[in-house]
Amino acid sequence: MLKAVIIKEIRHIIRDKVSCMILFLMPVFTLILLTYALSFEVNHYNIKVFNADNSTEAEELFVRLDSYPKIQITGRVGSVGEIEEAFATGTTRAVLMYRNGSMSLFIDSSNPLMTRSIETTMRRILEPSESIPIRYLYNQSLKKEYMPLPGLVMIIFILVSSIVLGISINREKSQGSYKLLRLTGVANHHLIFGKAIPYLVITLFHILVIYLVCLYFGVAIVGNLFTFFFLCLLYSGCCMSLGILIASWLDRPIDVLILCWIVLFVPNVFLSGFIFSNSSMNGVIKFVSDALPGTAFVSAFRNIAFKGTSFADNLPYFLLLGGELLGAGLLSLLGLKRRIPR
Amino acid sequence: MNPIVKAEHVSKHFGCIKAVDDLSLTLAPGEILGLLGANGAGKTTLIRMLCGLIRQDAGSIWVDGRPGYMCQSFSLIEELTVSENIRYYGALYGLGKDEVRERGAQIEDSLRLGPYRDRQVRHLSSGWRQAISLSIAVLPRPKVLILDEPTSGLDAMSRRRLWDMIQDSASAGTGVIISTHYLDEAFYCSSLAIMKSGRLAASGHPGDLAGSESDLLNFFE
Repeated sequence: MLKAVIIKEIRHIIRDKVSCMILFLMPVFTLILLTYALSFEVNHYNIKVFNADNSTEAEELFVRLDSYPKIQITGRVGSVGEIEEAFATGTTRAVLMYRNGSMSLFIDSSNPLMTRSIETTMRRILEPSESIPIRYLYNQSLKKEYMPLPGLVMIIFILVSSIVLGISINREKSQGSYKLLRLTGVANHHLIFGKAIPYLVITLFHILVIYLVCLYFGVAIVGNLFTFFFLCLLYSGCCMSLGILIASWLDRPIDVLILCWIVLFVPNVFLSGFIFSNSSMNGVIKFVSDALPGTAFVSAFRNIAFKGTSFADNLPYFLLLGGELLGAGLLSLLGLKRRIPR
Repeated sequence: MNPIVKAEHVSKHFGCIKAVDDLSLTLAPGEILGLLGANGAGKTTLIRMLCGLIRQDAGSIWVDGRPGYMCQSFSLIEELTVSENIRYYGALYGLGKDEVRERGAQIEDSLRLGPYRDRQVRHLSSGWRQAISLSIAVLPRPKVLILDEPTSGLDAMSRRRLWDMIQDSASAGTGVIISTHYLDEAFYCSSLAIMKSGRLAASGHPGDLAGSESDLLNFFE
């Protein structure tokens, strides 16, 4: 009897694609992520330099700094006023200024984890010669609340916008009401918008709560509120679109839940730079990380909310989110058109 | 009488499997056409093509207007009450508020839904759910009603109630295509189309095809 149950279970596992994914792909994926791709250690910093004195001593220092594997000097700043501009897109972590014969270090502290890391590295390299005054920009008191907030918001939106909406749409198919809906003549885009709008309203409520939470913890949103709300809505729309895409091509709500978890939740949590720094990623993982909506959202969130950068400064992130929203939306319509459950 | 459904030489393949093979049929107003056949005979595929849910590979299908449809699995939204389901589908069928209210009241009266109208559908028995599904399928007063094994898994009373509703619709001029596994239900139909391996094995008046349920079984062998 035991043998019969074991054989049945093995056949069940082999024939259920979703079970196979969880049992074989997921552990391999997690193993690769945690052993090869992800590291708490930040091993690469982009910095800019400012030689106000045009000093040769400073230039020699910059050459020495650039020779360290962890540091890459990506450009120069022409004036003190340009220092904040250098941080606008989030790709520059620090600016080293040489003025009046001494050095100062400006660090983008909107991400406290990175701040501590870059501070330690720069001190280790530069301080044997002299003590460097450091100025933290955007989060001067290094509040820890700045660190998890964008990532938490990203997770909430994936849960509400992708997973719950995806399951809700898929339930129509599994309950049989989808076939009836098709016969009533309701257009697929009406079905999608009709189902998505209540979730969008819930998202708006969450955005408001997030704003209030920011105020409560003293995490001031210094950027344009309209741009901030637009970013949240666009990201939420993108998550909805991806959730609907998964729901439209699968027949069972449980499959939607599992696939959303595997292809949306886990990659966005691990690869978006929320827990592990993107700077430590390489190759394919870096490419995947850069393409994730979560990465774009977390980066743009930090830039707009903490640094006060503009819509134009974050245009690449908005374009990525908008593109993924549209792409996934179109594929969803195709999936809903073709996939009629039995 | 002009047919309200006309299918000519319809075929549908799924990979190398011929689900429906060169099948033709017509349906007249007020006619109840029973589709009979073993599992896998192609009844559901034919019904899905007649509804327009999937496209045929060959042949032509013409249906007068948008058909009313009801399938074996419950098409109702389980979290909504009976009245809310009627209002929801009424709106999707494009009916005005007054018409939905009037039709809803008619359905509730004819089914004696009184105590159940404000109950969530998930709390109702299978028989009630199918009766309400059928009422919703006829909400927009379709000329053609297509029912895919609507009585599967129902008790005798519920099946009887559903057949009364189907015969009422047919009396009012609606043409009905119904697939069923129950041989006794074949004799409630005004005509039969017996399917075997995707083809039409026999068709005609039930009395002409078989004298009893056991005679019908011969067509399945």
